[in-house]
Formats: sequence, C-alpha cells, structure tokens
Amino acid sequence: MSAPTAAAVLAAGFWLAAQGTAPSPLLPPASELPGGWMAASPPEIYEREGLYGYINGGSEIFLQYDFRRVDVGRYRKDEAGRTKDITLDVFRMGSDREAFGIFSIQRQGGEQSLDLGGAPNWVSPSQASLAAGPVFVNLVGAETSAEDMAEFLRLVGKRLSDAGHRPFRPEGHPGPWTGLPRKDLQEDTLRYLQGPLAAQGESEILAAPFWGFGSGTAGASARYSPDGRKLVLLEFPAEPAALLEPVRGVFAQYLTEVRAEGSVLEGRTAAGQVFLFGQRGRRAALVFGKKDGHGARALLAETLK
Amino acid sequence: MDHDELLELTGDNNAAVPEAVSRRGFFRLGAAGAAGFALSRTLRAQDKPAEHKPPAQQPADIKTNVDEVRAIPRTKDSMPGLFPGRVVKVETGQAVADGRIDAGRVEKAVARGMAELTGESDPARAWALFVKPQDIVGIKINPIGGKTISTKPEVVDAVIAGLLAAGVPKSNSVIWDRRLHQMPDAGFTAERFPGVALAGTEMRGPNNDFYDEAGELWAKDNIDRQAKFYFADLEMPYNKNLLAAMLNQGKESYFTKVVTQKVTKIINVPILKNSGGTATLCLKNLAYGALSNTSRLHKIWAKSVAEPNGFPYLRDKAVLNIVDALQAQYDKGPGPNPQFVYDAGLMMFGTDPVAVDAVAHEYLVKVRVEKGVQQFDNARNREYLDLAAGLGLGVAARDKITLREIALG
Repeated sequence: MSAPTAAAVLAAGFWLAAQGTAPSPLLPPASELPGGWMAASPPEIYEREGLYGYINGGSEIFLQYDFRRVDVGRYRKDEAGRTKDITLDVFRMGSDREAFGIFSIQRQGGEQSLDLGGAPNWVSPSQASLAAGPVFVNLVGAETSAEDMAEFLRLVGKRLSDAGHRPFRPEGHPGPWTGLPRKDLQEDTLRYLQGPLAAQGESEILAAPFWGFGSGTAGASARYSPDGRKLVLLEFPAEPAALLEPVRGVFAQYLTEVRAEGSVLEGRTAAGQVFLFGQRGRRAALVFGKKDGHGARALLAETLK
Repeated sequence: MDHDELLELTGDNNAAVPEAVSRRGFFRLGAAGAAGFALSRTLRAQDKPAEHKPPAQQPADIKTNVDEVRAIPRTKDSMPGLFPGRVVKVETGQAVADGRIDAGRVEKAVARGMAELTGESDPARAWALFVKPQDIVGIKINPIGGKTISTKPEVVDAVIAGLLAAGVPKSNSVIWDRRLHQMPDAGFTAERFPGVALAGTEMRGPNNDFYDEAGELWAKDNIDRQAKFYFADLEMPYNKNLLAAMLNQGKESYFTKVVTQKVTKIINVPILKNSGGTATLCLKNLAYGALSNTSRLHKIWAKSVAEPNGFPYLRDKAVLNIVDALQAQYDKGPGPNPQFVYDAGLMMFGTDPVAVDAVAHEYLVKVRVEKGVQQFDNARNREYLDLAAGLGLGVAARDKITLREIALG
C-alpha cells in the first residue's frame, strides 16, 4: 500500500471512529481508489429535504425526478506539481426510470462512453456520468484527464453492479419512448422527460401549463440521423381535449408562418427551421426540423401513424 | 469570542493568532485547503429515508414586503448608479485559453472596461467615482462552482488594484460570499489574498461542523435579525442539515451582516451562467448571496432575484458590477457542469445591474440557440428584469440600453 493510500485509510478509520457510522456504501473506500488518489474530505450525505444545502440552484429538477439522497465524495491527487480534484455525486432516485431520466437529460449525444455492462454512461476530461438501477452518478473533475474520469467511472460502475443495480433499458419497459420510431434514432440522444423543468429544457414551447408536466404527462425525446432533427413525444395520463388551438397560440408566440394542415400544425423559427405538432389519442408529438422540413414531416407522419 | 467573530477571516491579521486554539486560525487552515478533516463528522441529513412528496406547483402570486422599502429615500449611490442603462462589453482576446487565465490581459480588460464605462482613462479617477479611501468595500464573488466555474481570482486582483488606485487600502477590502467554506476551492484563500479580509455567512466551526457542541449554528449571529428583512409569504420545512445552509426557517429572509453592518460599498463580481432559459448574474449574485433562508424563494424565483435588491443594503451599496465571463456556462446551470462551460473571453461593466443582466441574458440566449439547447427566448425568462426595473433599480428594455462593445487584441 502506498503512503498516500495508507494515510487515506487511516483518515477514513479516524472518521468512522469519530462518527460511529458506517461509510457510504456506494462511495469507493480509500482502499479501492486508483493510484495516488486520496479522499479530500469526509463523505457528505444529503437527503430529500436537505438537497438545497448542496445544490442551492438547480435542486428542483432533481426533485422532479424524485430525488431521494446524494452521497458526495471528494478526492484529490497531486501529480507533476498540479492538484487534481474529483467530486463524485451518487444520486439515489425514486426508481430506475427516474435515474435514467435525470442521466439522460444531462447528456447531449455523441459523447465518448465506456463498456460498463450496458449501463449508459459518458466520459470527458472534466465530467463523467452513468446510470444503473435507481442510481445516477455524476463526476466533476478539475485538472483531470479523460483517463482519470474513466478510472473513477469504472470503479463506481463496478460497485453499483456488485450491489445489484442493473442498467435500465428503456426498450424493455413501457413508457413514452416506446412511441419513438426506431429508424435513424440516435440512441445516445434518447431522453426521458419527467416534470416541468425537463420539458422546458427541451423547448420553451413545452413550458405552457396545458401540457400537464407535473401532473402526469411524461415525454421522451431523441435526435434522428442524418440531419439531427429532434422528436419530442408526449404521453398524457388520459386523452386530452384537442390541443391544436392551444398549441397554435404558443406557436404564434414564438414562430412565424404558423398554419394548420389537417391535424398537423407547422411553423418556422426566425432562423427558418420547421416546427411541427401533431396529436393522436393520448400521445402528441413535436418535431424540430431543418429548413427544408422534409425530414421533419416524414418523422412526424411515422410517429403518428 | 462570540459567533460574530466567525464572520471574518483576515489574511495578515491572522498570522499572530495561535492556530491550535484559534477559530480564525482554523479557518485559515481551511482556506489553505488543509482543514483537518479527521475532526469532522459525516454530514447526514436524516437517518430514515425521506417521505416522497409530489413536486409542488409554483404559487401564482405570493405576497412579499417589497412595497415597504420603496419609500425608503434613495441616495446618490442607489441603483442604477452613475450610469443608468450603460453597459460595456469587452472581448478580452486571449485572457482565457483552455481555462487558463492571463492575469495581465485581465488587468488590461478591466482598465479598458472601466475607462469606457466612466469616460476616465486614468484608473485612479475612474475608480474614485465609486469609492472613497475610507470605504469598506465588499467584493461579492460567486465561488459555488468551485474550480469549474467561479469568479476568477485574477479578476478580483484587478478589482483590488483599482481600489488601491482610488486610495482604498487592502485592509478595507472584503471578499465575500454566502458560503465561506466554498471559497478556497475557487481560489480565494487568505494566502492568495494577503491583507484582504474574506467573509461569509454560512460557515463551519472549529469542529468542522456547522453546529457547535451545544447544537447551535456557528453562523447564527451572522445574519442581521435587527435589520429590515425580506418577507415572502411562503415557507419550507428544513432539516438540520439544510438549516445549516439556510440559517433560519419561516417566512423571513435576513440579510447578512456583511451588507447591513460591515461594508459601505459593494463591487459585484458575478459570473455568467444559465438557469434554465435565463442568465443569472448581477441581481441574483447579490440577492441570493446576501440573504438567509433562500431555498423556499426558488418558488418565486423572479421576484426573489429582483426584490431583495430594492433593500437599501444592496440598492445603496452595490455601486459597480464587473461580470467575469471569461468562462461561461450555457446549459444545465446554475450548478457547475463542465460539459457546458466554455471560454467566452468576455467581461462586462456597468453600474446598472438590470441593464447588465439584460445584455447578458440576450447574449446567453443567443449562445444557447447556436448550441441547439434552446430555440428562442421566452418573455417569462425576462420577468425578473422587468420586476427590477419596476423597482427603479435599472433599465430592462433593451432598446433603452446603451451597449459599448470593445474588442481587445
């Protein structure tokens, strides 16, 4: 055992003796940390009513995904005259789907990922993330490399796997994502939308109260090849009254050339991009397309058929 | 030694105090990043799992006491200050590259920005428009993003240099934020800023806990319960852990004694990041940085960002805003998300916090649209600007704002 590792073990033991509590089960113990890394401070744990004490701005979106608790570990490594820092947040959400949901809205698509037994994840030099079971993991690094972050992510992924937390695979569960056409779907852009803030994060159009986010409406979104057009599919708890007119009002607020063709509403942004809306039963779809609108119209038709 | 003494962490003044027995000495260690973690206990909110409650809906109209402060006479320093509706935006060139800061270029950018704002090319004369040598000047930073996205120490260096030029000694400057314990991670330590005080509201004590052995908050006397408080007719139950960060429960938010008692002027040095589809900088940095009991206020976000700035402790003292947008975060803010942090290379200057926020909002929405995370602006995201303008704190209407854009080589 290296001297720094031994010191970390001693420090951890001291904390435990002082506090008389078990260590956080999901945070890696000092004995498992990658070479040269040490815990920089004791673990912190924040539960539902205490989240604002950790994330004063930005707590609400976690609460809307039924946040239960976060275990925070801080780690440090001195290397070549520089101090590297990693903050590891292990969020326990209300369910597997909610952990996947909060994970999914934090990614853009196209990020580098690791083979972690099917657990969705991504890694960059300064940030990394994964979801497994009801757990969402976020790592933030300073002065770190992608290799540093990957090392930690593998470590945490293994602990989650050992604890029996399995990856959530949307395709194996009912949910709004089942209505997304599979052809040309970019898998790493799939998002599960729960609550008003996640919806608004997709588009200001979804900020209108009549969509019912926060009272049972959920959604899924994804981008499609080759042009990156985006589909947002909404699933209502019950078939709503016709939405065409309220949506027309919102379109008119933000878009130009707003017109209805049958049951499909179309408008354009100031930059000329086509926006489409259509509804069928308990589901509604919005497509944010490119200027020619061709791909967007085809995607909406495929979604609502 | 009472709890008030915890409010302040000085640089040089601490040197003579034996660290082994001194609370200040303890914080000095903490500021150096060497706080004795072996003394601490794990932070635990509760031992039993929290009961799930559905997300609350935003109340339509929650009453506040902002009307009580409208009548308080204004001073010559009151917001929007010397230059209502004027904003200077400086593209700093290579002041930041891959997150590394060029202190020399930052200094030049600050000098140029101040000259453009004031019309005074001599830094001493420019800064003297806002401060006098006898002022106690609070430099309000934002350290909550740690190393990822926080006010850069190099920008504060330039501010201190400006204050020195105007005759304000270092010992009259106070770098402050609500959370003293987050300042070291962002680079604000007594060693980095010798002779300048560091102050906060929430803080841990010598036992590295927020509570003393009697179960009292170490920081309980850091808020001013005698001064006029911000009332909002809503409350939220806090557990022990969250209370440590909020300092009190109920419908009152108290101002920190840093602004009610300690400082006579405030230089506001916020950073640029998004909160949903809006930008948060000058107004929020002051309001949420100066108040206790803020968790509940997120339910009335626009009001609670704007209205506390109408209280004299902020309205009459915050005389200058210097936005550190050398790096900015365009999505998944306000918490730090490195994935969305980029080298913006900008600084903004203004006495009018509403106008600066309006310009920054316009800029950030443009970036968000270009990055594909937003399609267009929403008037609702500008509500806090209109509320602040309605309180006479500045100019929100974009067509009434004079924007001077400077590009440095």
